[in-house]
Amino acid sequence: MKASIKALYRRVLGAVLLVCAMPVLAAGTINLGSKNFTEQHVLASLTAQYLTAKGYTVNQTTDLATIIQRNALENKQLDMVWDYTGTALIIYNHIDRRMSDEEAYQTVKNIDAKKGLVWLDPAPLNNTYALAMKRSVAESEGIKTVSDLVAAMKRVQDDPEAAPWQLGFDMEFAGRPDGLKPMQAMYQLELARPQIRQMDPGLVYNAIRDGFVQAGLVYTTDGRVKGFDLLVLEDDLHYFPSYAATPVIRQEVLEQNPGLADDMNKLSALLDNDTIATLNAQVDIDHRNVDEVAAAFLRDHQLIQ
Amino acid sequence: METINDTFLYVIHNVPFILGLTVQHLRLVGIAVALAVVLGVPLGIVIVRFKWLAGVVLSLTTLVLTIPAIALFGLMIPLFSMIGQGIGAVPAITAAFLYSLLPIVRNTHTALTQLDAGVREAGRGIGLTFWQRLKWVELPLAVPLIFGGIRTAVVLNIGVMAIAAIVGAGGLGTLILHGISQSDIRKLIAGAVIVSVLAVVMDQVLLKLQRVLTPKGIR
Repeated sequence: MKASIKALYRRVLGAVLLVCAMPVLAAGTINLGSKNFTEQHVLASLTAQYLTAKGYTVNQTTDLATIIQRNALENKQLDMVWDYTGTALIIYNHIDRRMSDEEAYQTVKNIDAKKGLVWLDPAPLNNTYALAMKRSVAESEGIKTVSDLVAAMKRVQDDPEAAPWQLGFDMEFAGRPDGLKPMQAMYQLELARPQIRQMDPGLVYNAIRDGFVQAGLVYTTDGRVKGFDLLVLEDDLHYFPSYAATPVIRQEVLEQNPGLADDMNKLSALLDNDTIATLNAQVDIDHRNVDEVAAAFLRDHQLIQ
Repeated sequence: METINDTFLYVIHNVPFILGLTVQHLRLVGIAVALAVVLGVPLGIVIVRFKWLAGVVLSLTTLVLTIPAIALFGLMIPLFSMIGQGIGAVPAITAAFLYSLLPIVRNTHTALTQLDAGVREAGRGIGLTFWQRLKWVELPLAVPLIFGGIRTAVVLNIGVMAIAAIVGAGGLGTLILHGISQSDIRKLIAGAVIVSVLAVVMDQVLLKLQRVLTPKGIR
């Protein structure tokens, strides 16, 4: 009994020491973060494999919510992330003025420079939000734009026989002050509480496909838009800002690794909407492994052996 | 049926990855519960000695357990961000540690307070002090119940730890999150089933260990 308690305590002490052993930051080590959706997994995997081949050591932390990831970057637990201009503008800096893509990029770049965060060249990809619905339903109802959808929903609402349409949103968008509410105001979209279905962003696509909601919020570069045959409705009043994917790196890390900016800019330049949507679809539709998809892309472009 | 087949194939083709997540998962739970034992068992003993503390300590540990897991993990982030550990293993282990306290403290307390009064009297009768009785008589008799608390904590936290992936701690929750975000039912099922199996297996393993540690006299 006595011996076993002693042994137990010794083991516990070992465990405590393990926790206390903080990760030591070596030169050339990059702590890479990614958010909780497929495109981010793909971007992180591309970056990790590409930089590893260049001789860096990359530690990945995946599946972080936007705000958690941003905090970790500001607290120096992460060194590099892929972020979006629209997200930085609206969520981190609460700027909801409409501006051009270039102006948006320069604005967030300047603001973050003061925090020691560097926005490298943006990839030519705009992963903005959109409302989408099943193509078959959209075509039979003659819906092409968000305004058409609003009109169609009003028609259904006025029909006492028909059940009101429901829309699916991810929880982040539904809850954000710059998300659903102002969009409703701009499009004069009236929704009773039961018509708003909140869920994980990845579930919205399945919900639209399976008819649980008539329309929902999607990311334009998501592979499931094509894969599930969804129709992206035109944002005819231009509510959604642009979301250019861009590597964001801490200034210190960039200084320690002089070649890093050029390396990353080379990768970013290859990633346009079609390319990333194809990669995303290989993961979400074909259910291929993220690392395999990323490796195949990097090999095709001779970025890794 | 096809889904089950696909899930099985997915697991077979990704054994190293899934094994890695499982080890990570168990390590997080193991460290959290071990820390809870180190603090919880002495705490359970102290509140037997100082009765006025018992109410406060047991209420507090109960209160912690009523906080939804996802909220507790969320609360850890700003807290640990202050020391630059907002994501990763530290917030996850802390949350699971807090969840482990109630079963361990309460079971230790219950085991010691509900001992047969005659046993305690006998110890007192042969002139043992409080600490001597504790060491030679009461703790050995309390082993089964204390271990019951540890088992509850482990099983509880194997489930809770599935949420740790949202704070970047990894573990089997990663599989479940990917299943949802990538519309991939195979990963979702694999993650959920492995978490459940793990809980059952660990419970049995600890039960065996408990039998070994229980004094022969009360086995």
